[in-house]
Amino acid sequence: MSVIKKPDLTDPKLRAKLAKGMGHNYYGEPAWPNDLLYVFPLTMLGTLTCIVGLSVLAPTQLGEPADPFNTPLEILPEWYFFPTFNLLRVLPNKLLGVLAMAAVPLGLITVPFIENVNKFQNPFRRPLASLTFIFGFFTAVWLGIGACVPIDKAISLGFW
Amino acid sequence: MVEPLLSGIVLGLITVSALGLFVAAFLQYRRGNQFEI
Repeated sequence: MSVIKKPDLTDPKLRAKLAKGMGHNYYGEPAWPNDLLYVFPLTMLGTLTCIVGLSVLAPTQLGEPADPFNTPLEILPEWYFFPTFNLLRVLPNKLLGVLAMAAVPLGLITVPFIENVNKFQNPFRRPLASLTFIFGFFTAVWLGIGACVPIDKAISLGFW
Repeated sequence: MVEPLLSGIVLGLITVSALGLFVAAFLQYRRGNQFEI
């Protein structure tokens, strides 16, 4: 927080821009130098460190060779498909499963429209949209973890 | 195949990102409008 540089509200040039009401920034921090100079290089280096570190310390192993006559013991998709995979897995009916998968993007599309009469952008001033997001987010993480455990614990995660 | 390292990275980044979003939003919410225009 010590490096934050706030917009200079006494600057007549900035005031003239703000008076136009074209969405110039008067409440937050300008991107330069706060984000562009201090945060961006850090995230770039952090990402690079993660990737290089992982590739050196935990290189990708060759898996089992594919065998068309033998289903592997554990079948899991990529990690970002875990929630929908779990949804498909626990729903008994295939049509229901497909409908549930279709409902995910449809539900996501409705989120910006739920509270569209609200002129504010801040999540704390958009309680309905924020709560929808938090609920969906939590559900997705919960279902995603559930995809990694046996099917009888896929929903409860062993808590009940 | 569940890889603990990958799971940790994914779950950790997910929580930290969401938390950071709300912390930043809360700071701006608390600051409010300091410039009536």
